[in-house]
Parts: sequence; C-alpha cells; structure tokens
Amino acid sequence: MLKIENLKAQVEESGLEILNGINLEVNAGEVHAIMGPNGSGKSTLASVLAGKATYEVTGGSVTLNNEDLLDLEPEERAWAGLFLAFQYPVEIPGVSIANFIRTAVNAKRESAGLDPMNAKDFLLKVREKAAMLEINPKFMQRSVNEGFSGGEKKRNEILQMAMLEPTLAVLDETDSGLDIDALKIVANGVNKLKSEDNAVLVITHYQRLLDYIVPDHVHILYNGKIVKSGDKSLAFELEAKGYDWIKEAVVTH
Amino acid sequence: MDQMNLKEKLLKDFAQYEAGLNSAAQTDLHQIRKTAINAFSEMGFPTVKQEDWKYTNLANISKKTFNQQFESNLSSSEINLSQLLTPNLEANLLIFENGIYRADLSKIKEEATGLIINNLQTAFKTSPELIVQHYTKYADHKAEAMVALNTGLAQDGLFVSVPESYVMQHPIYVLHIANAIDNAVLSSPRNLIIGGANSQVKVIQHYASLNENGESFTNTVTEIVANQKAIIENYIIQDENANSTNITETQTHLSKESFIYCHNYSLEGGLIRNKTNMVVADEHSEAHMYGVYVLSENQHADNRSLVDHDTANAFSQELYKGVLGGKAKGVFNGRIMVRRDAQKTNAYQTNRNILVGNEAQVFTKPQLEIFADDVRCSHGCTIGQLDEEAIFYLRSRGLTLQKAKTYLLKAFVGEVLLKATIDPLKNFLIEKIDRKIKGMMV
Repeated sequence: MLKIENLKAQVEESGLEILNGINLEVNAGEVHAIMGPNGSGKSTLASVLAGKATYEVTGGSVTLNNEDLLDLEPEERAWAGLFLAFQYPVEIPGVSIANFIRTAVNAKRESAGLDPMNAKDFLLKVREKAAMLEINPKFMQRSVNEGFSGGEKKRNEILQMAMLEPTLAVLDETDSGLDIDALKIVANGVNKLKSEDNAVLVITHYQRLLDYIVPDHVHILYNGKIVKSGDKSLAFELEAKGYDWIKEAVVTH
Repeated sequence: MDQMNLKEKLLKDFAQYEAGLNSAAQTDLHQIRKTAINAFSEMGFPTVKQEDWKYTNLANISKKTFNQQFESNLSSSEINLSQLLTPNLEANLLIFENGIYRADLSKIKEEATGLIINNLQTAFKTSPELIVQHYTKYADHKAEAMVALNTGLAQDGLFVSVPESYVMQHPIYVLHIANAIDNAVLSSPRNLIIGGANSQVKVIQHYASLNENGESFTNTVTEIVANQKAIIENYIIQDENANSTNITETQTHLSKESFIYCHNYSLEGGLIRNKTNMVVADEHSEAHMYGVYVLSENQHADNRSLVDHDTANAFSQELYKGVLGGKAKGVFNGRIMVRRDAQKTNAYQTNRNILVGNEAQVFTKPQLEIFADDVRCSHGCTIGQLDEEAIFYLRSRGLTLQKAKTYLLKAFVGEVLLKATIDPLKNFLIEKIDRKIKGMMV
C-alpha cells in the first residue's frame, strides 16, 4: 500500500537534512510503529508524507497504492486516501467541529465526483463515530481546537479520521498530552477503524500507546534513517533499554 | 461651470435654494442650516493635511460636479426592490432615492401609542418639540466639515422616536438607493433616532446603487439618543458601486444603563469613510461597535471611532475586522477617551486585518487617552496574512488551497458577524461576504 524508497528531505529554509534515506513498506491490514528519540525525524516523516511545504524532498520516492504521492498537492494526498492526525492540531476560531468535518467530508466526496452528503446522513454518521470516541454531541458545536485540552484535540483528530475513512492513517505522536483514560479511548477508536483494507502508521516516542494499538511491525528511526526493524517485542526492548542502546549500536556499527 | 469646484458649486446651490425660501428662511431650522453651511464654507472639504483625514483623500471628489436631486426620477415599476432588499426580512421599510423619500415604496407597518417612524421632513412638521430638543444637538456641525455640509444640505432622512418601555417588534429598515445615470448625484441623508426609557429598537441603514457605473456621493449623519435603559442597535450596510463615495458619521448619546450597538459592514463601494462617536454620558451604560470591511481592487474604507467615557462604571467594546485584496486600502483609527471621573471604566478595542493582496494596505492606529486611574482598558491591532499552518491543516483534510483560504477568511470575519442579532440580515451579509471573498481568492 505505502512504499517509501530511499526518501531524503530537508528543511526548505535552512537546507538542514532531516530524512536521510528512509525505506519502508506498509501493506493493507497492517499496523506499523515508528519509534525514535527526539530529533530523529519522526514528525518530519509524517509532515513530508502529508506534503507540508516547509520540507523539501531531495531524493527517493513515495507511492500510495502505486500512485506517486510526492507529485500530489496536500489535498490530493487526502483524496488519495492519506490522513495525518496532527501532533499539534491548529485552532480555527469561528468554525464549529461539525461544520469543519462536514466541509472536509464533502471536499473528499467532491474529488470523487460524489454529491455532498446530506445533512441528515452526516449527522447520523458523525453521532455514531462521536459515540465510539465517547465524544459528547455538544462538543461538535465548539470551535475547532480552540481552548481544547490535549485529549480533546486528539479525539477530534481521530473523529475526523473516522469520518474521512482513509486507507492510510498516519498518527503523529497521538499519545502526547493524553492521560491514560484518554489514551485508551483514542486507541480503542483507532482499533475499531482498522480493517483488512486500510493501514496505520503510528509515530511515537513512547511504547505505552503500543500497549493499546498493537503494531505488526516496529521500526526505529535515528538520524533520519530506519536503523532497526522488528515485531512488537522491539518496542518492549526499547522501553527496557532506552534509546541510548540504539544510539550506541548505530555508532559502533 | 467646469471651473467651479464642488465647494463653490454647493455654496451657490445653497444660496439659490435660500433665495427661493422667502419667509421660510427665517425658521430656526433654516438658521441651523445656514450656520452649518457657513461653517463648511470656512472649513471646506477636509484635506490629507488634517490628521483625521491623513489617509482618505477627497481631492478628486471636491473637484467634481455633483448635483443634488429634489425630485425622484424613477417610477415605482422601474425599481426592482426585491433585487436590492435583504430577503426574508420583516421590517418597517423606508425607501429613499438619491436622498428623496419615496412614500410610495415605503411601508411602515408597526403602530403603537407614541411611536413615531417617519421621514425627517414630515417630522419637522409633526414633531417640532422633539426636533427642537434633539435635532443637530449631538453631531458637531460647527467644527466637522462633513457634518457641517450634511447639516447645511440635508433635506430628509429617518426620524424615529420610540416611546418609553416600547420594544419594537420589527427592525426599521432604511434603504438608500443611489440612482445616478446622467449626472453625478450628491445626497445628504440625515437621521435622528430617539429611544425612550426602557425602549428597544433596531435600525438598518442600507446603501445600495441602482446601476453599476453611476457616480454618487452620499454624506450621511445619524444622531442616536438612548434614554435610560434603552437598547438601540444601528446597522450601516454599504453596498454601492465602485464609483460611489459613502461617508457616514454616527453620533450617539448614552444615558444611564442604556446600550447602543453600532454595526458597520462595508461590502462594496469606491471610497468609504465611517466615523462613529459614542459619548458614554452616564453610568452602567454600554457602547458596542462592530465592523467588517472586505475590500478588493481599488476600494478604500476608513473607519474611525471615538468612545468618550465621561462617567464612571461604564463599558465599551469595539471589534473591527478587515480583509483586503487587490490594491485596496483600509484605515482604522480607534480612539478611547477615559476622562478623569470615569473610574471603573472597562474599555476594549480590537482591530484585526488580513491582507490577501500584495498591494493591499492597512493603516491601523489605536489611541487611548486615559485620565482616570482605576480603569481596565485594552487594545490590539494586527495586520497579517493567513496562517500557513492553518491552510496546511485544511488542505490535509482535502480542501483545495483556494477553498482553505476562503474558509479561513470566512471564519475570520464570522466572529464579528455573530454579533448581528437580526438573522435574515446576518444571513444576507454572510452570503454577500462569502461571495466576495470567494471572488477575491480566484
């Protein structure tokens, strides 16, 4: 489904190289976790996949279902089935969550040549998904992310994911700022959305999210490269030994 | 004739008009006009050398020839009102064409003991006590040139007096149609709104052009008096063609525990200038000002306000937002004066601007003059561009770049539009603004 080959990227303004030749293949039905210390390039990878203009791709390729992702505008990537759950979702004062999600759903439908979803169908669906994430319907009338707690922001991200039904969801540090109860709710939501036809890429610093979203594969990112891959036990090993173990391993290599 | 500038022409017009008055020239009303026109004669049109007019240049206007109209031109069948009016708005309707009252098109439906909704000319005859008590008593026709010009030339406008404890069921909706085809037209609407104690009234002044190119110059003065506990809302909607000049001055007077809301929506026009002066004259009163200007091409809007806190324990709030594209120019000047005895004043002011065109300009200036020591005042002026992070967030959710920008701008001005309390009007404004913003993003 997702194929990343030798991906290199730098910060557009400074020319600072952050991704240093990443290779990764994610198949339908799989959950992959990318772990790594701060500054290893985890969030940059998420941003580059989503098409953020502050990063410049300097080499390699990324395809999603055989479509060249790097050639597409951010919105075209969304239409192609990519979804990024932001680490720091943006506040949009004056726009309700309901209006925002409906606009997003209909933008995606429009790209597929479909009519906008009617108000009733939308309401039914969004209520159902909100219930799954234990979101109070009143929450939907609040301005997008304005004054939200960390947990509310992340739940809002996963609600959008539930409504947009992406084929590949990239969760960027979705566990940051969450207490354990919120973490469980969010993870539970992601698990319910999992199917044989879609895939999830979980980007995280800590192993604890992976207690609830169990990965099929775990990759360790360091200095812009995947330096080690394994199954879920790698996450436990990392938790036990810390990132210094990887840093040393890379240096002595 | 061609050599004569507008000031000279208007003074000559006034002299001619006066000559035709005979005995009517002796009335108090005419004497006020005369005082005002003499003041205008001395001051002339404002120039950019004056601080208040630094960014708004009337030089072109003052060289042109504008004619005042004394008779209406259009038969009622020639005006397609439904194309101009706010849809679905049930209101007491007054229509003016080039400043001339069109009784045949107007429809004042609400009646109550003591309630007076009239055109000003009628009120001069039928409500002389109220006219004597209030007319020209608030706006300064001796020191402000445009008020002086209006006071000298004004023939008609809106007159409202709401009796004590009466709450209006419907808004008063005044549509000013600029109908300039063969020659450029000057009109000087003059409005007086008096809210009795405990009364409530909402007034909409809607300025529209009948045709796309006709040149019009509309110079309006509105005086609003809120008696104790009165609640008055005044909406100015400017939606005229690119060859129009629309200047308004709104002078309000707040008594104890009264509330006045002044809304200003500049949608379309050539040169727009609004001045809102709120005199907070007694305790526990509230002065609110809300404004939106969405400007494209060569449009110009200058919004200036003065809140004069002359008493303790009062509140004022001001929120203006602008979106500017093309070569448009926006000006905001918000002055808050807190006088020595105005302790415990709460005064807030915000002006935010988003530039969407490389050549668009905004000049914004807060002016706080605080002479009391126990007050809470804040102001914030910003000029910026759309937030790139927010645009990316929306695009990552499937909105195109253009849609993302439009969406954010709508949300930006939406905060102000929420303050409008007349739903059909709010919807009308939202629709107009949405369409304009969309056009600016292409």
